[in-house]
Amino acid sequence: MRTDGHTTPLLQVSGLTKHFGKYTALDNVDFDLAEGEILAVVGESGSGKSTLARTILRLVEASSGSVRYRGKDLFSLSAREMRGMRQNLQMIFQDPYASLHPRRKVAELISEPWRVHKGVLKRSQWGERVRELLGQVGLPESYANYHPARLSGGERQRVAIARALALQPDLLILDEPVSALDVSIQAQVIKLLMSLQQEFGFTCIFISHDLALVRLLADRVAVMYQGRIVELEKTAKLFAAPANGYTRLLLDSSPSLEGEVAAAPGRSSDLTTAARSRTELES
Amino acid sequence: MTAAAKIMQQPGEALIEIHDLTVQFRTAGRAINAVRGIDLSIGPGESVAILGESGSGKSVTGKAVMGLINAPGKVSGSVRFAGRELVGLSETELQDVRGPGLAMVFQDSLDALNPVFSVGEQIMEILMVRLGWSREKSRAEAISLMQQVGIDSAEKRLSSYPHQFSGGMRQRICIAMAIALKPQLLIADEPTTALDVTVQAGILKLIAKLQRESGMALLFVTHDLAVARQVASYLVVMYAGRIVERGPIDALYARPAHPYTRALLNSNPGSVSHWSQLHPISGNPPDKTMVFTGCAFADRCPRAVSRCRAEAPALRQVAPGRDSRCHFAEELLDAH
Repeated sequence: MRTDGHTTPLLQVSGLTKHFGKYTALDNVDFDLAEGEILAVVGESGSGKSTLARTILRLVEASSGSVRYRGKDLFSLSAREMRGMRQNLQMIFQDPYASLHPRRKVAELISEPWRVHKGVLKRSQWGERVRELLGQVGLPESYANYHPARLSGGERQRVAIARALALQPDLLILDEPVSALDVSIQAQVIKLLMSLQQEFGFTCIFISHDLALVRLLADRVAVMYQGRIVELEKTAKLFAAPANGYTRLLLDSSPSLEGEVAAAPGRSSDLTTAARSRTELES
Repeated sequence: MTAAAKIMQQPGEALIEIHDLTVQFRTAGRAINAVRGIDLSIGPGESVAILGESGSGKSVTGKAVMGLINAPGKVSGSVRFAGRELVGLSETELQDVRGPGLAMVFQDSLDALNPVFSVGEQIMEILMVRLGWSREKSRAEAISLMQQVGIDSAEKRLSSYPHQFSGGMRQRICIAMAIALKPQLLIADEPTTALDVTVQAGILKLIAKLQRESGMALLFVTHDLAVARQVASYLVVMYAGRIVERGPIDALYARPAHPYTRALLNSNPGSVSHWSQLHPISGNPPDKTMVFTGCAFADRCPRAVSRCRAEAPALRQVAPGRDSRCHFAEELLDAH
């Protein structure tokens, strides 16, 4: 999925930096995204992964650096031009309880983008398109008249996905899209997102702290630490042979169903002792 | 046979025996059944994890054991700790049991600490009030406790305030306070859920180490299958306020005896290599106001038949040391 020299990448991020006062949230971040690629951005709280997403979409303004979308410099656009541009660049947030207006019905929430981006879809077609989108995200048509309060967390996130897809964006940024959901619901939403990605081919930046999850879906993984990308590699290679020390620490720290993380020095030894003492207790 | 299974069969040895524990909240005429009848024994030094989704009743169970359910919550059933009945005790009587008997660590360490006192004062207060120790002796012990939970230059940090610590360090301080009176049972309610994964690894390691060294029993409440696997040898799976399956954790993950446990494992990212192999659980967790005639999981269960909706399955032994609340548990076990 890496770009070759002949086609322009969908997104080119270079030297992206964001200061909040003295604090550097993003420090000289560079990467390219090929059309249709899924890039996972992983890191812990404070690593800058959410700031990265917000800076790309100009929800916060960068301190320096540039973001080019199909070769066009997003930071040179006027506010009005940028609003138009957002038709192609959509974002889904972590908390579907906060991202959906509680007083709007589902149909209004999904058609909101057409209200903002006038001329995309004729008003007479809104109803039909809302029903189509509800079907695509696996919700019954009757939900169009519901308020978000009647929906579960997983259903709300489906509405947020339908709204993001309403403009058929080229790039979808997902900021921890399932981490607020119940464990039994997470897999539903992941499968939905990924089958939609397969169907429509949109490019994805998938922000997550969950390494086990990104391993299942990303073409490449960028590991962020203190505002910087410390490693950017194809997914299989990053998990098989992490080159960076922090990446190794993250991998070793992730709990697994097998119990002790075999490759974690200084950690497995303790847990092995714990397991042994339990065996003694049980014998 | 595991210690857990032995204890299940010889309740006399148990440190804590929970029998038919229910917790109900009545608000605006609606009955919210958070816990619908739990039976569980934990032996001295044993490590048990309660696994469940939000609304399963796992946290409420931990709080009920600690006597932390306030009105309009209503607790019934029995919780016997070291032979003493805890349900119905007054707050003063409970305070005797808490500390040297039971201690608890919560998810949110910032809420659990008092922002206007230094962490040293807060640890020392426990020792001075509960054990009647002098300031000097309590101070020395507070330093030792902070060292035990892995806080560097403990003596210097004694005078720091909660906000001057990171989330992981604050949780370590909460653990230091919880173990200050050397409890026989530590209840940890999602203690690492708010923390980063590298910090979580350290806290889980610490809890396992403290448990091993002190011989205290552990009741660890979590929604995370992999985290449970790190700290517990015995697993209790809760769904809709009830235990649906329990047994030694290795055996349970290798051969689940309840469709819900199996579905949780199949929808866990750690168990597959590509997203298309995930098998999600359909539907949503049930509402706590719902009343079930049959199995609470029937609506989401791929194996459900008419009997499941008509007849509520009982929690019963289905293999040595293994209990399941499914009519077809034996078939599930054989299928593996």
